[in-house]
Amino acid sequence: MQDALPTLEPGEVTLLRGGDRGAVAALVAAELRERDGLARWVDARNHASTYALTGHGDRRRLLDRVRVARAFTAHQHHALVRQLVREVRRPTSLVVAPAVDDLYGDDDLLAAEAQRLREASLSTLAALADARDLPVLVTATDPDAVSEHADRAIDVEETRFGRRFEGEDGETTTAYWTRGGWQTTIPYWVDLVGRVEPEPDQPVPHLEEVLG
Amino acid sequence: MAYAFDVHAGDAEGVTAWHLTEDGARAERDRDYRPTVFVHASDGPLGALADALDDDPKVTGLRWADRYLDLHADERSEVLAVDVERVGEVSTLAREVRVRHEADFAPGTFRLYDVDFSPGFRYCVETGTDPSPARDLRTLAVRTTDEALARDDLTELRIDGERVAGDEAAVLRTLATRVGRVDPDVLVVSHGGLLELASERAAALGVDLQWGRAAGGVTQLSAASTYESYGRTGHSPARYTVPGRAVLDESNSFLWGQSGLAGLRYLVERSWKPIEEAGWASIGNVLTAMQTREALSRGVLVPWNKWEPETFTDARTLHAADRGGTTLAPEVGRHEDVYAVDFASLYPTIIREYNVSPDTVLCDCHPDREVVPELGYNLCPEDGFLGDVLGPLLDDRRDIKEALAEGASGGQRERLEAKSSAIKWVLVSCFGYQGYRNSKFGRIECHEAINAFARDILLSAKETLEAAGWHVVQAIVDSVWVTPRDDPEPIDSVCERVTDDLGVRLERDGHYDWVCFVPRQDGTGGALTTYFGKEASEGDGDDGDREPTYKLRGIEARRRSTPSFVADCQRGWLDALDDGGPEAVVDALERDLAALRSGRVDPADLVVTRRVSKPAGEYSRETRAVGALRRYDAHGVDRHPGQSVEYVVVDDDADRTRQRVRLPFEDASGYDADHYADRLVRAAETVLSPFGWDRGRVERALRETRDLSLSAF
Repeated sequence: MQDALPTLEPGEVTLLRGGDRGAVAALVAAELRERDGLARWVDARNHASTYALTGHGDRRRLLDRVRVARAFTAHQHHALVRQLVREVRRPTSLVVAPAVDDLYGDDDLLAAEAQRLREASLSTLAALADARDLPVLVTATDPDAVSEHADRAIDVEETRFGRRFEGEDGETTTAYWTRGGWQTTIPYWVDLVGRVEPEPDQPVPHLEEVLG
Repeated sequence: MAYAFDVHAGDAEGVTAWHLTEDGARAERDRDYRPTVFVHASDGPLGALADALDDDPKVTGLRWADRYLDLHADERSEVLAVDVERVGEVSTLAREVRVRHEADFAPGTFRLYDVDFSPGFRYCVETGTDPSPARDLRTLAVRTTDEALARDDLTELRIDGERVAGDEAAVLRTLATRVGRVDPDVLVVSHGGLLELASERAAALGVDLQWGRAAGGVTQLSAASTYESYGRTGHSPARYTVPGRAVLDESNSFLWGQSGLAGLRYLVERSWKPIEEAGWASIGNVLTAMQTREALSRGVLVPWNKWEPETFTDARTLHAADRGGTTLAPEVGRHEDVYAVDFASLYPTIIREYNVSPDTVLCDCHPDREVVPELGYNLCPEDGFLGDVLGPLLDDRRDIKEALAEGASGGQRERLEAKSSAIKWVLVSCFGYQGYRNSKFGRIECHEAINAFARDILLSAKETLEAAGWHVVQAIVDSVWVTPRDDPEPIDSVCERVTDDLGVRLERDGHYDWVCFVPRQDGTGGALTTYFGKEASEGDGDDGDREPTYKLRGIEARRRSTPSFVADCQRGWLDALDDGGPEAVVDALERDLAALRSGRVDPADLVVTRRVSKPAGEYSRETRAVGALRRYDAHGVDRHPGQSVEYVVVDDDADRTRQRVRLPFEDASGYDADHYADRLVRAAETVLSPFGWDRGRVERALRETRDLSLSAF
């Protein structure tokens, strides 16, 4: 079912819109399964709280393949993005930067300086994706402002079935992710065997029931 | 030695330092003083910057200097030292370098150092001036109330505790006379704004009031502001100063409130923040000043912004590191014969004894010395920076404890206690400050290493205690609570052994006849730090008649928001519980409810205190606090986010929010008995919850008592 998750394109910056912290982890997990090398994760606002990562899949293997550095100020964030340029000379499968713009919004920063640092960080990430042919995944506090630096966007929506990803081209990816790990995607089975309409307030039928 | 500093604004240059003399103070103008900031960059850009600054009229001198750029740098680097004409222009210059001069280079090309020092502190560290007062300080306290200040009302003041009232001009004349006669070194005011208001009114009425030791009047140093800190909203009022005296604003000084003049004096000695600046400083500011002094003495510059990030680590290490102290949730219920033991100043002691510091954690010189538990971080054996900063504080605290134990008394005792409290605040904050994002010398790996040692130490202590025959009922970060299991080794002897083994002093903190741990609201186990217990009467016999004392944590009676009536009732129920168990508590509750419903309770004892986090208009729900805010507003009293509101609930079901409450200074003759009855029952539920009681059972028991008392008729 992993094929059904949207894949990240090498050489492109993908902006993930909506969803919670787990959505980033889900995409990173899927990507790591498909590609060799490490994920380099520039963290802000504690997105890397490993709980988000450990909740999914083969946790031990995953944790070993994610290299994290956390920024707590805009200056540190920018310094880490610059440091990435050196880091990715070693085998790297993807670069992740959740809340990529967030620290630049801190009000203890000079506005003009914040703007410069933010632009420089975002263009460095874009250049990095291009030069190293790497997928770069970002989320943003202000997605509209960040989108001009992204090559494409994926929207994610939390639904009662789990998480639903939708690409920019309007093609819905019928991939769902639930707390327990890769539960099979219900819409996929619905497409296959037809819809079982749950009664209002009835629990969602288990997969086995859907399959009969 | 100078103790107060007038930093001149406008066209005047230099600083006037005020030296205490036997009967007053003498001014010494230092016209040659020039503050210095430092810039580092690679050669090309730094040369270009030097050229540009050469034409800047704010800049009086440019020099090349050698300094360490951070705590763990092996070598000094060449930096540009920029002397600035006036103290007030330092931040302007720094901004211009960052924004204008850097425009043609990559962001971060210029790293600036020694930028954001407070002006008096800067003068002291740059000129080697120790701002510790040379003799006892004379104070004069002038106080008003929030309400009077809101109305610009100066018809009543308290001057050194004495009420002065009358028409405005008369009050101001008395004030002027007192200021002149006392000639205070420190002006203590209830509100900084009082200085400005009194000056303006005196000028209007032709009263000759001079707050300062020299002409120049009241200067506003900064405007009022609202800030976020550790997820809480705070408010700092505007700051004011006057020439030749230190101003202490009681509404804007945490440290003055906590440790008084003696505590502040101590912090001045250690931090070199002059007393006025120490007064409005947060503990973080004071700690930063101490660290800055230590850094400068090592030839290390103080960065303006924090650029240095942590290194990339695998997520597994992060997972292990990103944890706080160890806690073992308490066993809900009543426990007999409980001892609490705790590690004295655990985090600061770890910093010093284990040499954990931003410059020792993950040093380059000793990669194999992987001594941090769990994380395997290496530590440098050379003297760490943080240990050097905290060492004197730890030593002073130990000496003070000894002096107090040896029976210091009277004024001496008070001064020692105030000092001790000031030290305590710095020590408890120093660890958290390592993890604070804007702390100048904070480093997250250092914070993690301290935590890892702390967890290891607590677990070792727990194991030792268990092996010695004690049962652990709860453990929180630096303290362990135990009851005897089978023929245990005496507690003090176990503590001594642990102290020797771990290098951190474990001492007995309390002994209780019984302790009740309260369950969490959702019923899943015990709540941390929510308990009450009866202190054991130590010593031999004879004190059977002594009033029992109880220790309370986290329950209603300890919360600031709880009305004193409810708090007093709850404290009273602990006696009842001790004498007659849960049923006796229900009887006492019944009596308290009756008193409440009879209307006999003084509304002053029913005042609820709440901290507000936003202005009235931004609350989405019509809470009582909103009602109170609207009422304050109607009286013209400013209540800012971060400040508290006080109110009595008079009609909780009223249609209009502002009718639900009255402010303490309004006429609140009645109160909403149902509302307070509900609070009372909730407080009783807390006391009974360790026995498995919930609200339903409390209410059933109340009905039964009522039926019983009816049947007596």
